[in-house]
Amino acid sequence: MGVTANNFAEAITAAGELLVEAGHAKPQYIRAMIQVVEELGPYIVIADGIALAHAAPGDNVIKNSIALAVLEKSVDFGSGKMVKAVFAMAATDHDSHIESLGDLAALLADAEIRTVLLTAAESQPIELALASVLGE
Amino acid sequence: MRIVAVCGLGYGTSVILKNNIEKALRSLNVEEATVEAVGVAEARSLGILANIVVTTEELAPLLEGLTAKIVPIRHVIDIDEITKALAKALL
Repeated sequence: MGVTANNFAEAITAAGELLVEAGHAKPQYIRAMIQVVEELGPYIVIADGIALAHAAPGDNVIKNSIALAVLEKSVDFGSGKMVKAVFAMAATDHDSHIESLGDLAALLADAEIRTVLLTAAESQPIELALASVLGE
Repeated sequence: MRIVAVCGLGYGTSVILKNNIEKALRSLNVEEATVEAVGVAEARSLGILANIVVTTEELAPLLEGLTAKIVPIRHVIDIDEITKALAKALL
């Protein structure tokens, strides 16, 4: 909550550091997630204000995990796509993460949950809404 | 019918897209369709065999030249948007 970031690389780094600090990904994974946006554009912006940062599964991932950083102010991920909530997803292989990703998509398809995510002043309501997919 | 969901890498955004395409197809009563999630590079080869390629606005230009119908989506979690776009593509 309240993470300061001036651009999409800093925003992805903030979310990625949560994965690294938890021991779920190596620092190189953060760079790889940034590179995806640099090369392919803001396609990871899956809803207004919400990005799902990720890179290819593999050696830089230690454990399947999804982390969330909510920014103090939205930043432009490209083409004017402003993002306030950045999920960082790490997967050890191509198939094992699909269930939690499906759960996350189902939650984010709910407009009320998106509103909580983008407007909550404290982290508690967000943690409650997303408890089933965040962390381990 | 073969539908391919395309994102940059074929395992994050496209998996969400695939799930939502399947939901959209059910609500459109489309049976006998297979949906696969792939990355852009794979899509260039697989796309040749697909009837419909669903992808994001940003990635659509990278898939030009495929014979499949390209359906660009603004937000991959927006099932309503996907349902409308698919309904139009299936006409």
